[in-house]
Amino acid sequence: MNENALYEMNISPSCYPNFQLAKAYIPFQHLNCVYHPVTGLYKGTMFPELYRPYGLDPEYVVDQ
Amino acid sequence: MKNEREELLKCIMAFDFAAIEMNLYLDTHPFDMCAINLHNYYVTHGKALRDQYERLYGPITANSPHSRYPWKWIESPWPWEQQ
Repeated sequence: MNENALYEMNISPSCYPNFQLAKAYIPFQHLNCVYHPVTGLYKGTMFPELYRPYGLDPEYVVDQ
Repeated sequence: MKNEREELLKCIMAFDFAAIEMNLYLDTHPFDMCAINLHNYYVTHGKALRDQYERLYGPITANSPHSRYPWKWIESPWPWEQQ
């Protein structure tokens, strides 16, 4: 029985010891170096540790 | 001439962006002295660049303190008028 079915039956998953509730966490950011403002504006962040560029999808050619 | 104007405008945008980034960081890290110094530098330098731009090329916003006679705000180019 999946979790949605349990909700539909109005039964909380926490009643079932086999179910673990998920926990979200975010590591605390620490400042080290920052980009130059012009570089930062192009990259969308001033912080190198937050820069997560999307990989190039060969089927997506708008930016090329 | 036009290139210098555009470059200066891009620089202002970059420093405004940098100041907002430090602003957001400092909201969750209010005791980070290094970040405060960076924030203050970006704001001060951005303000100086803005003043320089407005003296040279006219107001960026209508409430600029640098309008000469006649009223400069209505002069071209507008941001969407790429020349």
